[in-house]
Amino acid sequence: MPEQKTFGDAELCVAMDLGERLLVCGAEVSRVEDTITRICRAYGAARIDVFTITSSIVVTAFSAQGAPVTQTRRVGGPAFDLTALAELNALSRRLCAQHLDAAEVSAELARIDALPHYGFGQLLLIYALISGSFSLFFGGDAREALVAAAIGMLLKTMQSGLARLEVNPLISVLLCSVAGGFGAYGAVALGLAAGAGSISIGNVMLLIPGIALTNSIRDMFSGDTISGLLRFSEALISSAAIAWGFAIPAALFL
Amino acid sequence: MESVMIQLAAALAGSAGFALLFNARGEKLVWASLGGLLSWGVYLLFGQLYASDPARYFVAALVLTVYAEIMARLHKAPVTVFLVAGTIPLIPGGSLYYTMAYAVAARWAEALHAGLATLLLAIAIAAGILACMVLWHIAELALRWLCGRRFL
Repeated sequence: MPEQKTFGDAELCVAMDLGERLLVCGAEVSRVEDTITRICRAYGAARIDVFTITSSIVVTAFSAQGAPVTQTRRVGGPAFDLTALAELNALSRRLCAQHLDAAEVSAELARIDALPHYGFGQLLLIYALISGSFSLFFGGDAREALVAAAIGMLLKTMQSGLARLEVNPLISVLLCSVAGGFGAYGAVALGLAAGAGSISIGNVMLLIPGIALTNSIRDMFSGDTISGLLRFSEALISSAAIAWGFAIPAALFL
Repeated sequence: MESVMIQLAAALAGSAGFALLFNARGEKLVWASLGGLLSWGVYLLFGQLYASDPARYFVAALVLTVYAEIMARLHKAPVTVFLVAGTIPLIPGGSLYYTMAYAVAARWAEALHAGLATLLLAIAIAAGILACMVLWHIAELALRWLCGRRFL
């Protein structure tokens, strides 16, 4: 094993690069804190204080000689990526076991960043699959599921377009809900399907932050109260926007 | 019976959809999606014993987490990979939506009722997951102590 370098800015930066990616890919706050602590310790830090919430990471670590290093990251919204999550986890384990140096880890992180994602065409089909299945799940029939799947594809197209225009996420979700509602009631008015309710619920499941709500409770139970409250309020506001969005076409058609 | 089969198939397809959306691939995609089938199957099965929804959600989340912990060790991946897709059928997205829909329509009594139900279900799922993780951790420590070596 090579002579270990003293702990410094470069080592902390690598630890935070990894922690930040873990948080974005959907790891729990406690796992991110744990990972950063382990990596800093593997690099020879004597004392490590990590504070993480869903939108920020703050770390101060002391080298064995007692020199403190502090870095802060502002973390963007979560974008679940289970493949990258598994890879990052494996990388952090390897780092702690084999003491990879900062440059090696950066190269690995670049490789993980370059892993493939599903393209727009595939995502259209995925949206159709999700909204169609949930329409069936909540008691819709085959025709309602097909309409829901078609609207799901429309919503994905809209979402991508709005994201490219850098529209505020809350407004984007509101507009998608309005479009989803119009699609459902329009299809019923045209006689394509029987119930707008079973169509809408399939599309609602695409937009509603149900996972965020459940994870927020989990965070609060695990003692990460601030993260939990943040996510909880985001979930409430976003679901209110969705309900407003679907209520507008309903009011116009009834 | 037919409606049960449709529900199970839809739960599996919905979980697979979210697993794909979250960029799961290969074997992990298959096992993560099957978690959704498992959690909804357990939910329906325990409907024969308990009438209370939160209790059924708790048990379903607990069983799912055991599954996810086992899969995580077999595939050397974090538990979250298998947990996120598997909880999809349980996630109270529908009832969260209905809560807000009632509130928007100023039907406050129904909104309150649906809101409390949503909260209770989310708590039941979170509690089921955490209870399993704590028990698993204790079991692992106990095994390690009994065997006198690191287990798994």
